[in-house]
Amino acid sequence: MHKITFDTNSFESGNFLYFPQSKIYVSAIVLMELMTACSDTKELKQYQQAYKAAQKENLLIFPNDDDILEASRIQFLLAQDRQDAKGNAPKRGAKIKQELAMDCLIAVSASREKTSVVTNDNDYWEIQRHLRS
Amino acid sequence: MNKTSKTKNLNGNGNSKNGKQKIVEFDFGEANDNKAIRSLIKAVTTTRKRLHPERYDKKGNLKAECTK
Repeated sequence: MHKITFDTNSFESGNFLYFPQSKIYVSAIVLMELMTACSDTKELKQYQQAYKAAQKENLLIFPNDDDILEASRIQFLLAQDRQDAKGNAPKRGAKIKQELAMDCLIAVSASREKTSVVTNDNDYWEIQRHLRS
Repeated sequence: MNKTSKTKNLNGNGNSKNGKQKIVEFDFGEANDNKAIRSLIKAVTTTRKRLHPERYDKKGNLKAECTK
């Protein structure tokens, strides 16, 4: 069965998610991002419950120490790509860089687990170009 | 007479208790029918209701016109 996981934006976008033929895994980073954006404790507790349940059923995907190295390498290469654009590319803000760092970790850890990331974020195409797989 | 019109059930899991078919945003199939995914769907639905309130009716059900 094909393994998939979802990026934060695919949950938040409101798109319909139909994947009855796939085995679903959950990225711990995505859950962390969703928990960070919670508006109240009720919502936070629901995510905490989901996290613990996924942990029990071994459905969580965590980045390991090698993933940190690989994600850093990809971020470096993405920064180089922008420099090579001879200043035409707008400079990335701190928030965008942080989001990109998270996306890299999600992509690298999912790739290691041979899991596809469902997303509507174009940054993943750039990340995929530099992924070693 | 109930005013709610019958709507297409997108996950094919049958009718709800009152005989009306329910529109769902997620279909992960039986293979993913476990506590973790159910909890996740519950949490994500809460988030979506907060982010896109216009897509839900007063009872918190997804509006039929939001299926496309």
